[in-house]
Amino acid sequence: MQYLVILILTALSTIGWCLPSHAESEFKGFYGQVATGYEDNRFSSINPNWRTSGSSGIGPGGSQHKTGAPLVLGGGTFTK
Amino acid sequence: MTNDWLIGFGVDYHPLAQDNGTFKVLTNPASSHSSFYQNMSYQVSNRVNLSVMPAYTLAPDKLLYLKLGYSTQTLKYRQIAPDAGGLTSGFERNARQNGMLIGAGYKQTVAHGFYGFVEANSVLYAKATIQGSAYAGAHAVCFSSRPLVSAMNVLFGVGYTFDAFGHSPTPQ
Repeated sequence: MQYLVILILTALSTIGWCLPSHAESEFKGFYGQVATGYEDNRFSSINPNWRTSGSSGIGPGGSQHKTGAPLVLGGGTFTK
Repeated sequence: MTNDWLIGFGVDYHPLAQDNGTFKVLTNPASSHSSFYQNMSYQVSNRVNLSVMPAYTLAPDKLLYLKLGYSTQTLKYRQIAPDAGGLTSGFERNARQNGMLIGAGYKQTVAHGFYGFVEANSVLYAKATIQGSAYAGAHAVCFSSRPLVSAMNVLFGVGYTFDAFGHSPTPQ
């Protein structure tokens, strides 16, 4: 089954590369953009790493996460 | 259906700090055998992503793309005061974290040069050492740990495409 999926994806990719373009993408060139949405920042602990002279781990519970709405400014280029 | 592969290079900047989260650190005064938990907070900010984006043109005005890249951000952590552990001096530190990003997105032209897009990203940062020290009375208290920090987001936004002369693309 895995080989079949790989074969299909490879075939589609090959077809995609070989077919001639009929129109130019409107996204070719430079871009600037702004975005927002939903974000989840996760802070996971590892096992405490005890030391001889006073140290620590994170706990209890081990994992914390916080969600929010980010503001993302972006820029770049698409080319052939 | 048209067929057109593009390669993209992009940079993203997150100018806003994300809300604080809290966690607890088990501290151990160096001069005694007792230990206790300290309430800490963390905040991530100044994230910058650099990405390479293989993209497939579904139609001249529709673009599907993958994002593979590098991400860096600042992790600020500090003691929450007043603290139940009895610390008489706190601390606030910054750690720089670097990681790798993978994502995918879709762009659709909505007007001449303007487009809307949706995008999903996952970022996994390398473990950064966080550490601090303070005093509980005359006793030094310290901690050190290497947490795993990751982020996932789903974004939607608008953008503008232009050529080297600042012109938007010619409609097909």
